Amino acid sequence: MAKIMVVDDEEHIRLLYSEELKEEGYDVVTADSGYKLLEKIETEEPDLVVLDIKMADFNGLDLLQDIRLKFYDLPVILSTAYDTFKEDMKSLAADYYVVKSFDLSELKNKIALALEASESQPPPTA
Amino acid sequence: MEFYIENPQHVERADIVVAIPSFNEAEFIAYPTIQADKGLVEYFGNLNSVIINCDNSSQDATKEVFFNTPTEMPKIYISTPEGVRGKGSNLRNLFHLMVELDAGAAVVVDADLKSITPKWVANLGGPILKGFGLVAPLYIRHKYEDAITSMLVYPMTRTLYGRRVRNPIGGDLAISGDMAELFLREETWPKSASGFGIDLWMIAMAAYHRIPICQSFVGHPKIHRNAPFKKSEAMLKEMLETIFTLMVRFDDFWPRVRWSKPTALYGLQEGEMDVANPVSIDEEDLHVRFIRGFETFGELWRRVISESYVNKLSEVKGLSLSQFNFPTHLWAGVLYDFALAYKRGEVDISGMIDSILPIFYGKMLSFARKTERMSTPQADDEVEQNCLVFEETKSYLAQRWFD
Repeated sequence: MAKIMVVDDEEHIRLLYSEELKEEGYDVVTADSGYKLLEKIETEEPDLVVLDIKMADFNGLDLLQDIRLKFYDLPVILSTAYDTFKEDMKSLAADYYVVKSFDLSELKNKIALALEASESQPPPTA
Repeated sequence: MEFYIENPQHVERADIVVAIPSFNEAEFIAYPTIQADKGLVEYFGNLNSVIINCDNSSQDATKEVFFNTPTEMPKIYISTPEGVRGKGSNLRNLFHLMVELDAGAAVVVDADLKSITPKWVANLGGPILKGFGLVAPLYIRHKYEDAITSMLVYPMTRTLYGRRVRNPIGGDLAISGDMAELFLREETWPKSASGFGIDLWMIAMAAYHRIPICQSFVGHPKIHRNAPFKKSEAMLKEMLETIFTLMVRFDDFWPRVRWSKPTALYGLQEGEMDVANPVSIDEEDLHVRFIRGFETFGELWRRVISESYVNKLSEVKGLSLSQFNFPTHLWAGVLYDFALAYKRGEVDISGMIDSILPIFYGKMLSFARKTERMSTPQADDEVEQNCLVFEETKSYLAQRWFD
């Protein structure tokens, strides 16, 4: 089953996302900061990242560009409390975005779409 | 490949170069040379840099103007032999020189650019030094500027190769030293890669080899010698042929790409953005060209395009200018049919390419009418929606390609 990495500096978000995504059958790992994301992403090898935009140590949109460099095909879904993030064009580097809510149906739907699209990418050439 | 070189300052090594391809650009080349120099000094002053004019044996004083333009950074002039033309030939020489200089990054800018600033060098070169293999530009453009990119090259490139590069033929870009070596390892370059098709070939190669591509905002409206919405038929034909040629070359890759992915984005600035100069188009002229296409190419279209699409084209023809609407799925389907015909060699290629032009003008007209009251960002959203239609209908092409 696909492994999702949830990156958010708010514990209740990490717990909520983790619980509900596990119920969907996903394997879930979490990171509470941008620093932890960078530490764990290579060892955990997630199939998708749900990334908070506003974290104390890193701007999620800047982290997103770094993810695009090192993990080119890794799907990233931006998660934010405010939809004003769209004013920052760096957000266009994400596959999808969701506004945080206790109802995770939109997030789950976007995860499914992103994983399906990801599976259709051809493998790296030799 | 042999090239002529003048390296008066005996540069032996460079970390980053700014390359200016040219052919008879004596009138314009000084300005981008000065801006490139300022950019290298301001943003990469701690690195070994050089400015390179990659020329096609210009018969005016391009070389002299280039060398006489005062710069802090050293300059090198290289040229193809007389009679060898094309931007692609210039860049091939650049790749060879990059290897000789062991250059890690090259920023390539057009020689007739009037809008380049020193920040272009930083925004294009910076991501290469971070680790990207190719950096494509993001410009501020009016919604009707560069219709060839918006209506054709961007949707096709994104659909085929899976990377949302908004300006794959912008002309200004940056590549890594590793990419230069990769390009040189290709034994055979398609003919179109010697000319304007080079940018598209580089994007396709980068995607094919899974090299990280990003886009970087260069801000100011791209202003150069050519009039912005000039119906550049020669370029359109060259782009069509390049797209089809590359489809044949990379058909062990693109049929397996199902959906495109976004790229990293750099250089985005806070604060006020520049505004592109408005561009107007002649809708009646486009309409006339579209309608005339039926008289001139109707028979060829019936041979190349599937019957259902031919019928739909006829329906569009029957619409008045005020009601004109050319659906994107029709445009995508027609292009896919032409690509299939190109691969099969069923019709004369030159005539086939010519016959696409009126259909392109019809689509351009439809886009212009639909976005007439939209802002440029809203029109850009329309372009993105069009691209999704291309992607959604790609299976039509992929399933037939190997028949």
